[in-house]
Amino acid sequence: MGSDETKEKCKEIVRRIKDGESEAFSELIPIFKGKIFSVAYGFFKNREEALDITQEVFIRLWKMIKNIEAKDMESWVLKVTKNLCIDHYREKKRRELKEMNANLKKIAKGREDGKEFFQDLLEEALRMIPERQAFAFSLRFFNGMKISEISKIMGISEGGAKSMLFKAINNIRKIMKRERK
Amino acid sequence: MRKCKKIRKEIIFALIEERDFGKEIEEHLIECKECKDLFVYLRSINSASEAIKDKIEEEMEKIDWRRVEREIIDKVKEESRRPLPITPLTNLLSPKYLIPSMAILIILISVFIYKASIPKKRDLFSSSQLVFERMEKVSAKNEILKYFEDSGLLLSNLMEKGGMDKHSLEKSKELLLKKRFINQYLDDFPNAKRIASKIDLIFMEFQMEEEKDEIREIIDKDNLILKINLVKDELKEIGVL
Repeated sequence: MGSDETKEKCKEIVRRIKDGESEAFSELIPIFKGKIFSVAYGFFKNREEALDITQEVFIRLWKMIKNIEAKDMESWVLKVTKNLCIDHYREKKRRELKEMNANLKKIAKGREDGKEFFQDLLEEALRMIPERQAFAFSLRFFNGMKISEISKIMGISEGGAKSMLFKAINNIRKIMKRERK
Repeated sequence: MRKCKKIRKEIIFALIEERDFGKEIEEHLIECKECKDLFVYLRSINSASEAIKDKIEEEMEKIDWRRVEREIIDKVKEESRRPLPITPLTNLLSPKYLIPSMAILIILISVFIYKASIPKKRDLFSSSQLVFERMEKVSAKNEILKYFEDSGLLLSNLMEKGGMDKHSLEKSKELLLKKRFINQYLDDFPNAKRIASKIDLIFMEFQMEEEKDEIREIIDKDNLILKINLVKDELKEIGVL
């Protein structure tokens, strides 16, 4: 994960931070900000939430910077992004338990066939399946990640990642089919 | 039917792995309406995903990244100014921290010896904190028990009646949502967690009416209702952790 050039750059920045040049940390932000934001945005579809997650990941990175191997930094950053997204999502779900069902019904009742309708239904159905399945789905389809990358971020084998995506697709289809009837 | 199952699996995996499928499948899709429906659904997922990808890029362009970077740096600086976080033991033993570490250690030992020498007496705050924690755990356990009771009832009904009415479907949807809510507490109860995951999958299957015979087979083969009762008994016995 991550090009050799990025890894070398991270290595150099970490070395400078360890030597006391803490300002060098700011050079890590342009390297990872886009990836963190797009993963978080793909999952939440909400700019503010995605920005909060982005900020929190960098604060955690700062706290742990001296203990992370530069070559594993991108993988670490994305794993933390995943954990924060899922934690935040669970908390949000607790608050919006009732709203979710109502939304799904409202969208399905609209029955305007077409891309936007399908997209809304897909986004709502994603909120009803297990969080890890939803996150893996979002990485694969909204962020265009490869199975090998998804398996690293999710901390499972490639076979496990494929099967998680398979279940996600089937579960979403079942929910959507039900709601469209 | 068996051929369809195999082909549907193959189409989904082809989408997941971003690869094409063979001519045999293409021909089958022309003949079989259900498999074709699945293919159309998967294509819709792909195009909806492309639209979401574009939305992500649009959002990224709208953001004032300079401001975001400044904010991150400010937060990081704020964090650096905070007192030292708990560092690993190796850091504490480094020459830089050796003297303060030893001083803290001596103070801690003294406090420990002092505390051990006087009779224990809980202050009001810590005991009320404990009461709150206990209350939360009791209510979480009750929620889990309720989830299993409702699920057991629903599954028993399905086995007896052989079908699902509108009310049962609504209930299964409610239980799917409830599972999301109790997830955070299930880690304390591994057996309950395992059974709840099985129930969750069954309720997902509920959303497809035409597969109900298959669902009944799974419930029967897995002895799911018996397992739910055993988990309920276990939860009642173990009390609050």
